[in-house]
Amino acid sequence: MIVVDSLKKSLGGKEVLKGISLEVREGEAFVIIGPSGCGKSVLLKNMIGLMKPDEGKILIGGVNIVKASHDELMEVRKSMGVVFQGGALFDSMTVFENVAFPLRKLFNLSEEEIRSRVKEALARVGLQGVENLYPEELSGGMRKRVAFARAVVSLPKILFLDEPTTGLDPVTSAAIDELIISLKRGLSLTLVMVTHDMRSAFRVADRIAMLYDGYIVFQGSVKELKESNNPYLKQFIEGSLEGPICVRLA
Amino acid sequence: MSRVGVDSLPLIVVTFAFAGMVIAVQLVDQFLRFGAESLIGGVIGLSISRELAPVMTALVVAGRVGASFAAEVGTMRVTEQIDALEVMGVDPVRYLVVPRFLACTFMLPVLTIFSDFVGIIGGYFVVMAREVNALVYKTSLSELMDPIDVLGGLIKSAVFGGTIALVSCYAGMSASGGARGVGRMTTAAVVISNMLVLIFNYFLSVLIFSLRVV
Repeated sequence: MIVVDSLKKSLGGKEVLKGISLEVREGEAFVIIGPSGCGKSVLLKNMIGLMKPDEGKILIGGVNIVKASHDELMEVRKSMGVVFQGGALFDSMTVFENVAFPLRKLFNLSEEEIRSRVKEALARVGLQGVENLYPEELSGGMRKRVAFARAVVSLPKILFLDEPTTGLDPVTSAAIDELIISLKRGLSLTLVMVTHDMRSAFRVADRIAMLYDGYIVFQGSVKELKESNNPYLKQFIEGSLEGPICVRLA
Repeated sequence: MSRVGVDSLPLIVVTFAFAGMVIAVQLVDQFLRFGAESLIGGVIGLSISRELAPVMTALVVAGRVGASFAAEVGTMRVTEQIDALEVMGVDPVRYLVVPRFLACTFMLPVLTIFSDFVGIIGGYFVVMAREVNALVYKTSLSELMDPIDVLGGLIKSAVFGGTIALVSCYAGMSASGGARGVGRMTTAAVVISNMLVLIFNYFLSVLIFSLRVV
């Protein structure tokens, strides 16, 4: 479904991604973990076409989005939904307008069809009666749910999630993880999730890759991860200061 | 358009009523001393329509509207709303910058017309208070001023409007690093817009009024 091959990306003269290769299979939940600042979000931004890599290929459904024409990229974008870290809801629009936005911009649908699709998407994430509210009137968890509704309203094949549980309390995080799993099952989605929340990763993932210092230092199933002696993984999961991962606070 | 034009109008009216009045206060004594009251209306009209109205209107709009554009677009940048637009196949320049550019380019000349009018009326009241004949003021206006004086000012204000919108939106698009970054780029937007307005004003004045390119 998604193939990333020898991806390199530098930002501000620093090489952030140093040759990333990974494969996401159709229908699986692929979770990318790693410490803060290791390049997870840069990798995700490359995968959704917001950044152009310096070298390497990104194939989504067989289309290399690095070299794709505008029309090809638009077609690929129709097949993907993205949930950003802070939700990225448009604060000048109501919940309804936010969720309807991708349908209006990417698809040629009647207003009636848009209404029914928005209602269905909101119901799918467990929200009702909030259509006319503005994002500022919602709680953090509700805003996340609206962001999910907007990402899946166009019935995408792939859902990209950037730190979906960041800033949420553990109970709300668990509810968001449940929502992710139910959306994946209900819509037969392929998931690519970036997170440093290991509880969330274990709940959602079929396979996990760990990114550190611009390299993939582990890639495998949750079972393989739990059995692995990889020192990076062990230190990251245990949250220990002892090990190969250097933490720079300044 | 409404935000740039209608919402800025009260500020423009107050600013230019007093600007016109203060120019008249400064000029009227000097002109009366040399017996040149027949020039007062024309000189006030010329200085307002050629220079003061386009430049001061642009500076007011840069402070009010440019800052708001930069802060709004900057907040959208740091909260990933612009990334969300791109992912949904929407070109952020076409969606966010073009409407703001058009609104400023069209509405600044409209505001400048109000500035011209209010400034000249403000000057008129001060001159009347100094017992200069109203007819002398009006005749002076019509004799010394050409349509090109007003038109040139409006052309300048259209250029200033486009400049303010582009600088402010670019500053917003370049914002990073949260609230501090948005604040820094908002300040930069106003400072750079103001400087460019004053620099462009010199060159446009030379082109329009000295070289008569238009």
